[in-house]
Amino acid sequence: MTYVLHLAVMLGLYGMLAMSANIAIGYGGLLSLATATFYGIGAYLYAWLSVTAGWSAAAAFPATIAGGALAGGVFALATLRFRNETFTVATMAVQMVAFGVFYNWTDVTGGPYGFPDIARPSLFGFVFESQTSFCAAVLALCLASCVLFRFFSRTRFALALRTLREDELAAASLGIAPNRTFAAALVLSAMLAATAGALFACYVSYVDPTGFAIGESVFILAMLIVGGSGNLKGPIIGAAILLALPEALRFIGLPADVAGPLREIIYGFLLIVLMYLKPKGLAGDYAIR
Amino acid sequence: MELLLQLVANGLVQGALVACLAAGFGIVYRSFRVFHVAMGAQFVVASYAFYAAAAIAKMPTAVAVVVALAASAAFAMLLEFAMYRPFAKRRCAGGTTMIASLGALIVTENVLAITFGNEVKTIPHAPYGSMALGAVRLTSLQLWQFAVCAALFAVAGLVVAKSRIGKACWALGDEPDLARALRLPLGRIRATAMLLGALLVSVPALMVSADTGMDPHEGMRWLLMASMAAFFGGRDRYWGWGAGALALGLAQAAVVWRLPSQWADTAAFAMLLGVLAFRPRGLFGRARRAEEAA
Repeated sequence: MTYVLHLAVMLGLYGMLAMSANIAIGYGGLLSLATATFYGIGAYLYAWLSVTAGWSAAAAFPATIAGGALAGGVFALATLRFRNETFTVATMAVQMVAFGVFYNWTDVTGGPYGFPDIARPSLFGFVFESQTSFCAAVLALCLASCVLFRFFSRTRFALALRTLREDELAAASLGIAPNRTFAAALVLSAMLAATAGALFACYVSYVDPTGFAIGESVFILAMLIVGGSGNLKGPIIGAAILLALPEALRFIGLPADVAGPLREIIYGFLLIVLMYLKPKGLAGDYAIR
Repeated sequence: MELLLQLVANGLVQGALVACLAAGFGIVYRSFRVFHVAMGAQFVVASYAFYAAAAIAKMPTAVAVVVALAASAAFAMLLEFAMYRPFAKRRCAGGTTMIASLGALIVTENVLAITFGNEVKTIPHAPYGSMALGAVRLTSLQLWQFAVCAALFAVAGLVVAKSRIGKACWALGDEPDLARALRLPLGRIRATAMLLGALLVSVPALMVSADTGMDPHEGMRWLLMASMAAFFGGRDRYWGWGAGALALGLAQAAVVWRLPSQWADTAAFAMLLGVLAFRPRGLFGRARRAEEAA
């Protein structure tokens, strides 16, 4: 049962991360490889606020989301000067810089030793201590994100974003401000990823930098590619498939040191094959260009 | 002051290594218009082929170098025929091909991880002698790294600028359809670009792995250095890539001068990104039409 709950928590967290990447990549067409940056910022910021600064969860969560928004704004300022491949390189550089900060700023993040002793959150006196209650909270938040996402996808803003994705010059000539719209999308995406990061921090109670390296960004991107992007169901399907893959390998009974790389080999091949045969992914509306 | 001179010398060596990598990345990028993520795979394949030949099969170094370069060339052809060419025939978009290329990097590094293990591997060697040039001390390997990579970068630049096939590579990147209409030998041009790219990546890969060893997941870091240098110098300018690499090497040296050395990559990337934000075309990039603007 604990195992099923663990998988459900993971699906909830990665569902949110895939949705976050979907806003930038699937709607904005901005191929960013920095999703894990905001995931990490969320995790460390929540950890720092709740442990070092001693804030309650009710204060630390909103503050973390606000911090994610701020980081997303700075990120937009630094990277929206670029488009296409140059944008991707810039996001990779940001991801590398962020990892360097997580890893080397030992006074705050604990560096390679990690940040321990993060407590489960409590709200109005109720502590989400048991696996069941925490899982319910994560799934509820993921569901809420889905509902908000559904709402977002029908707004004028999402339409403007999709127009920009298809043809930036044409969209600009219609009066859509490219950089302002893209920046708003990146901020929204960062807020969602930071929320997932904060939840992750209280779930595992210990964060270390290896979970927020560029490989994690690639993994989240792979969810979008496999499931498809530009709508709500694609990323969720992708997250479910890529999370089920290692579990399936485990049931076959492979040793862990082979199963880990093998999982990555399978999803690497999936990327190549899907890009060739089905660039929109299994259930997506948008093919990355 | 002496420390600064020493760091500048180290930065120049690093700059020469990265210049070759940036050229290896850039030639494929410039000819195919594909973000060559698999360059990172090319790097680790060359390193591990060298390791297998020198440390496991105990071949003499010269033979091991030849074996590693041959393996790297074969890998480049595998990438071209199994991935890049089918994608180009299908006229897949740049981002699509880039993600496939990312897939190839993931597959390669994990195949190497299963085969050789995840931990850092080093090639046993006698300690390298060091030489003093005034206040600066460099190991003999560092001198070799600088000389060989600088020479290779210059020669490859001349090939690209002067030879018919080099110009054809650039033409293919500018106007793929025109290149087809002119009946240019596309297959040969593409193969040349891949092989030249593989050589430019493998030589620094071997020299780095002989020095500090290798791990299967380092490809991404080198890819980022190479692509950052290429875009910083100006993404269509061969000599600009060298300037970008030099800037990266010297920026890393400048960081180490004032901060603990583990911040070298982080701060150098942040510096380059900061400059690039004010000059998105790169140091020597040319202006482009609005619809193809970077």
